Amino acid sequence: MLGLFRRHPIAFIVGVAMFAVLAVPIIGLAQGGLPPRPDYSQYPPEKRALLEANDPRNLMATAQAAPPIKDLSPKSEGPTPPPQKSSSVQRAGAGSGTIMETGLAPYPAGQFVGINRWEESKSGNDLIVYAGSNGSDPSQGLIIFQIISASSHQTVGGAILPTPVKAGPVRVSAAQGEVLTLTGQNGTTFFFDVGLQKFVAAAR
Amino acid sequence: MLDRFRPKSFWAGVKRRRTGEAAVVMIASLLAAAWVTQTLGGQTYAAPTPPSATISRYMSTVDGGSPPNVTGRMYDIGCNDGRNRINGLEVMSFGQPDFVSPDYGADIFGTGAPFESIYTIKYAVSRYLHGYWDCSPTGVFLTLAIGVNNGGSKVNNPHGAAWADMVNQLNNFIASPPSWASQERVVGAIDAEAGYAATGPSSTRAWADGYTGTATPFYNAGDCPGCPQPGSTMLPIPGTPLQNGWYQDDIWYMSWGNIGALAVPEIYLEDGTSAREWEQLSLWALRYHNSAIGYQGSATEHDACLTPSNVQYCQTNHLNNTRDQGWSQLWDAENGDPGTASSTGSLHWSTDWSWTN
Repeated sequence: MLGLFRRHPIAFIVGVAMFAVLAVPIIGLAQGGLPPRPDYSQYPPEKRALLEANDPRNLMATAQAAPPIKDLSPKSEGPTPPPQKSSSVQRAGAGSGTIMETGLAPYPAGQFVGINRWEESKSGNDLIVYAGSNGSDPSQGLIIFQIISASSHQTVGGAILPTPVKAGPVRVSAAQGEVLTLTGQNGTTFFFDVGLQKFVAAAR
Repeated sequence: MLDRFRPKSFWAGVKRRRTGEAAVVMIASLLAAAWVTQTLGGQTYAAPTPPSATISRYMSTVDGGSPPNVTGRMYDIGCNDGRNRINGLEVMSFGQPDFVSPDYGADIFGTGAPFESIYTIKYAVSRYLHGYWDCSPTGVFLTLAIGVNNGGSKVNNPHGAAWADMVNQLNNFIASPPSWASQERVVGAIDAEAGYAATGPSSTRAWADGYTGTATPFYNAGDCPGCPQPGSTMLPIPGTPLQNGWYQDDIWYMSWGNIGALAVPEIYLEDGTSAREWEQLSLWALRYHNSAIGYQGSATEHDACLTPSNVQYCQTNHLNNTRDQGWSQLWDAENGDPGTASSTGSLHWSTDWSWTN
């Protein structure tokens, strides 16, 4: 076989050159271009249909086929604003704020699992203390303290604080002024001073 | 010396043989070069450039303004997204499901956790869609996934059905004249997390079953807590126990197993753990449900991590994946196994959670 290569050096060079000419642009395209085309044939028929219907290539084709000038005239009908309703969340005044019995918090459960919260509106800001536990370690109580601008709705301050000792998930059980009483699952009591933004030894 | 006495047909044969040999050498060289490149260069195709990311939002407003003159916050957000040519999948999470008789709805994020009925949310989303239509250039397309998480006690089948009905009505609204369907559509979403559902997965599955039946899918933007990573032992259905009575099978059902389910999983951890967990779930699905999962993209929380109260926490817990890192980690994880490598082609989208709205 090697003898063949020795007898035909030009053919060898041409072969390598052909590889370079053909392969390099293909690799280059793959590295810098679009992801590989989806292969939906591997999926069950019902999922294949769903994937094809939701393929962004098809959606973009719809967008690109649209007329360049948009019709901005108003729709003849649409949803109308309904009257406001009150929440089913239980609320109770506590200190200078309100305790709300909801675990809702804008955190993934892997980070934080909420039990309840305390809120206060003060000086153009909303102060919220979410109480609960670390999502990956339920024995570690955790509070999330946020200061939200009531006008811009932006979070302008706050912190995420573990309880000084592990006592399971904590809930806000009472408040005196801005000092919150938090009770752990095992009955341990903690005090959090909203003004100082830290745990304190006892209510002032 | 003897050569000159050989017949012409002999030389023609030699010529034919040499031409054949040259062709063999050429082809062998081409193949050898390809083999050397593959062997020394490892993977021939590097990961592609991640798609441009959208912003997904923990919604703390449903301010749709008052017709006919006041645009409202939702219109403004839609208009800004349109002006910024936001193109792809965007999730809006309206908090946790709730029911205040006789209306289904959700307790939204932010101060007061107010209950907003499905009618209020529908109106708010319609205002967002209007803003996007008015301000976006032609040629972009938004898939808006509106959803809830699976926290609280009102996660159930009727809520899923009511949510699906709202999604259908919004798509009908989009299609009504003048149609905006060339640039917008609405689908469902759920942030299904085992940690939110302390009573187990059955209510979350019921929500999905209630939703299914609509013409549009729902996207699971949840997590895979404690899921094993590639190389771990694969347990048969229902798979590995996770937390709160959830198993791998439940995460699979919410992400793929339900007929209407698709997924843009959370890829938060900077070391790639999240991506590897979802990859393992897909391998598990391939083995025990005969189909890998066609993940549609990735979700990160880089923007949420920039919020003042979160900065230190995200840094300490290494949750600060950028949008591109999250997407690339999921792509790499899927590409790392022949069983799921071809699923990388359906990783269309990248989105990043934000609290700003």
